[in-house]
Amino acid sequence: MDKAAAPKTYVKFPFGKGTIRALPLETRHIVSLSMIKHLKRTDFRLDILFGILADRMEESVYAGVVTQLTAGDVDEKDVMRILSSLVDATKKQNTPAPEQNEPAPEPEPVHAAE
Amino acid sequence: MPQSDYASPYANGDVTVYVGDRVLTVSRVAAPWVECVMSPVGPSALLAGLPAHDAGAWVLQDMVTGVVTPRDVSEAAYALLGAVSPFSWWKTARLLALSSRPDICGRLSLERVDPWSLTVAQWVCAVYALITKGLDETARFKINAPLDDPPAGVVDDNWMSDAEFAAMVAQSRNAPGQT
Repeated sequence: MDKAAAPKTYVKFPFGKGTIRALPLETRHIVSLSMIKHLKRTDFRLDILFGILADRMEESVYAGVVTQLTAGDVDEKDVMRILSSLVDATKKQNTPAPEQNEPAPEPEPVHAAE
Repeated sequence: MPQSDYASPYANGDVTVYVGDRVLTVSRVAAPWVECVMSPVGPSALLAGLPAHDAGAWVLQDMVTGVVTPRDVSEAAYALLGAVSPFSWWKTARLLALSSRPDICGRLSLERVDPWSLTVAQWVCAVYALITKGLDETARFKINAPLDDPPAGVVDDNWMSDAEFAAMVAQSRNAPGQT
C-alpha cells in the first residue's frame, strides 16, 4: 500500500478545558524525550519538545496549542505536561483491550481427599 | 555506518563523529562520558550530551523529524565509544559505568585519578587496572568474560581481519572434497 495514502490514526487527550488530537508517538520521539535531559540549555530542550508536538499534531491544532501556551508563561513543565498526556494516550492505544464476552474459566472441581 | 575519525584511542584532542549529515566534535575528557553512559537510554545519550556547541540538540531535532533514526544515533554512539578507547565499545561502556560505583570511584579518587583531567582511554584503562590488580589468571578471566561478552545481537569479528577471513575461505575451497 502507498505509505502516503495510509490512514492516520489519531489519539485524543485532555488539554485545558477540552481535548486535542495528535498522532501517537513513535520510537524516535520516545528516545528523543529520554535524551533531552542531557541537553544543557533549556531553550534547546524546549525546541525539541515543541518539535515533537509539531511533528505529531496537524498544523492548525499545533498553532492553537502554541497560541494557548504562549498566552501564559510557557516553560518546559507546560509542554512536558502535554507530552505526558500524549505518551499516556499512545500507551493506551498500543495496549490491546481485554477480550469482550470471553467466558470466565470454569473453576476446577474440588474433590475431597480419599 | 556512522564513522568517526579513527586516530589513536590514546589521542587527547577532540574526536569527530558523523550522524546523518551532521559532523559533531566531542571532547575526550572522561567525566561527562560517565554521566551520559549511565543514562537509561544507554550510549546514545552520548550524542545528546557530549558534542561541542550544544550540537546534541541538532541530533535530537533530526531524530524527531525522522532525518535520522534511533538506530543511526545508537550506531554513531557505538562508533564514538570504539574510537576513544583501546577496548570494544561495549567494554568501554561497561568500564565507564563501573567507574560510577562508589567503591571504584572512591578508590580512584584516593589514588588522585581525576576524570576531569584524563581522557576516556586513560580513565577506562585506570578502571580496568584497578579491578584486575593483583588477580591471578582465573580471577582475571572472571572479570574479563562479562566485560568482553558482546551484547545480544552484536557480532564481535575483530578477532579476524577481512583479509584473514578471505584467506581462510580460499583455503577451505582448496581443501580436498570441495568443488
